[in-house]
Amino acid sequence: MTTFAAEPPIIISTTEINGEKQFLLYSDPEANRAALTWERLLSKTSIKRGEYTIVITAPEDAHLAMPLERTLELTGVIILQADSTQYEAQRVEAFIRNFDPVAIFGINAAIVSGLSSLGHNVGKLLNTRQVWATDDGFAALQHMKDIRLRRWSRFGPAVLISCGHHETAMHIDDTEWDISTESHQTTLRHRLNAAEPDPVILTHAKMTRLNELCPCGLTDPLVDVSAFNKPR
Amino acid sequence: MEPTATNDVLDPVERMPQEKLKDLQHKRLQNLLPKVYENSPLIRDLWDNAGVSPLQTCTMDDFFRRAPFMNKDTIREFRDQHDDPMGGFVRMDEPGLKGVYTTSGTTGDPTPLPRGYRSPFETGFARDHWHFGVRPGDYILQFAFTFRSGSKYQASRMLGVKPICLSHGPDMIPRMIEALDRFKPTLLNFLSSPMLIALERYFEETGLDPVKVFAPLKSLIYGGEPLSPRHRKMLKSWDVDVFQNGPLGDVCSASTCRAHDGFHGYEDLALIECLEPFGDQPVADGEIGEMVVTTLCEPFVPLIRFRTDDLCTIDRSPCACGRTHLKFKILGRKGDQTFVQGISILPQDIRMIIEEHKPTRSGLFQIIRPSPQLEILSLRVGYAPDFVEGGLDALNRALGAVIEQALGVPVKLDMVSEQELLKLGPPHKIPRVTKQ
Repeated sequence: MTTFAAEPPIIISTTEINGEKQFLLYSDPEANRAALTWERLLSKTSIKRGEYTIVITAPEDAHLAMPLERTLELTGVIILQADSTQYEAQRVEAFIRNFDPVAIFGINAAIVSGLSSLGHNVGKLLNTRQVWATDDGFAALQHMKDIRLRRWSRFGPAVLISCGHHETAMHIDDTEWDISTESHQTTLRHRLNAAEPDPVILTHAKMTRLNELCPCGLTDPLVDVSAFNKPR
Repeated sequence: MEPTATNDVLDPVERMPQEKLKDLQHKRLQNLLPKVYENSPLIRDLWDNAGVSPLQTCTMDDFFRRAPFMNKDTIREFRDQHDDPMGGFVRMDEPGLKGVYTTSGTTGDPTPLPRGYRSPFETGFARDHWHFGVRPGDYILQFAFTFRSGSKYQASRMLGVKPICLSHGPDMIPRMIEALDRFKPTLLNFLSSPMLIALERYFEETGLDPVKVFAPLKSLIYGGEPLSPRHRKMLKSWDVDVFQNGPLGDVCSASTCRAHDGFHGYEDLALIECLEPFGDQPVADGEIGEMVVTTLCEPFVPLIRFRTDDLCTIDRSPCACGRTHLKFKILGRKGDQTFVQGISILPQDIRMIIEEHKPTRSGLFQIIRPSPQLEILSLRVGYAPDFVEGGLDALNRALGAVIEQALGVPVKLDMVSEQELLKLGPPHKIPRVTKQ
């Protein structure tokens, strides 16, 4: 496979590889491609221009937030921003109450816990909205019925997004990533130009690619996340 | 390239002669006012109730004489009365609207800050960072408490610099130090009082030399609240060039310059007045007044004659940094001013006393104030348990006596651990005045 020269980074984010936090250099072409992935996925939803959404992230999640925000801005969807700390639960609740957002991206366990401790019925707050949760947010919300819950997850430097048609499987952009799995090790290689072009080997992590077409119509392959076996 | 006298400013407007600046302000205001009167339900309501239209404010004198004031409560009241989450700044379906921030909520319920594609904050950040020595290709450490792609990140793109994004919190200190070592960023944006407290502890416990840690930096930004004398001294001992940053009444940002003698207010972005704190007449330069600001270029946040609640002094004398825009010094919030037996006390009066004692060196405290008029100054003070010698009661008595002597008012202290006190605020500051 051709390896391209490293692109200059536009931002330095943080990722977790084999249990360790690492800086992730992230380039403009990568951000644009990831934004297109979001555009493909959101075009299959009912979110429309002029509607309000909440994006909950932390500064070190820049490589997650930036492409999503680019897509939302370009498609005319209005962004309400909050940080992913328990302290921000009050702001998130106020956004929901005042702006009636159609979607919430990045809700995590800290926000869920913060909303609960403020005395809010989290299921009721979220139940008419499309909700993309982080891994721990998904775990905190999955027992609640009537939430249109999806997952927005990390797999090393790669981002996985569920469209809502599968319980556990998520889409990955295979224009961006070449994925090979052997035993309990997965190797991710950029197929195109990137700020960090070297392959990333994720040990103790297995990604199973499903060969079925997703009912949502996306051709970005579905990967099964139930086989994740992260080191403790 | 090293900054030189002519290279110190990014935008030539920063050196525009005052007369020309005034002309520019007039033109921008005349351009903006009809638009916001048309598009902002809040401004239309406010100006109609005052019986004023933009057509009646053709000159700056007309504007100063007729334009009504507003403050945060005006926005909250409009929001509540009209069930309008935008606070009447713009309509919910305003074309060009990209997103909505909210203020930190330090002084009450957060108020909305709608945004379009760009904002004067970005312009201010880009100018400030350039002035602090940041140049295209540099890494900068964004130690921010929020990821706001619409503001700080766009300023970085404008300058062609690479931000390293980390959350603003003590648990990020090792990552911050790793980033300083690996990427050699030229700017750290920003450190707050809670972070300085945590860093001081971190360096004491690890034995790391802050001078070496911060050696790559050309400049460091401090923000969140005014820099205390002890923290100023500590930063000086770390051998970093510190600039302070703060908001200009939510209209744009303001920073200190190389002359380190006050904040520059960008007068091409904001019209700045200094008025009687409890009146509407201007005070002379150098006298204490309330800062009142008017945006000159932000239709999404039409703060027109916005009373900021900040007590300040204004200085229009030429600045050694070469900028022609006025400078100001913030003395505290008008709403934080407390009268104990008729004596005026501001939080900064208390902070500099408290931080001189080792167990309370972090300067963490709150004025407990059911009303602005008190008979006894009641304070909640944070202490470091491991620095307390001779018991908490003894510390309480000793500190209380020093504060009473310095301020000349009776004092009652409630001592709580620093960690407990820090939980009462956002990551970058604690509210200095609280009702309970």
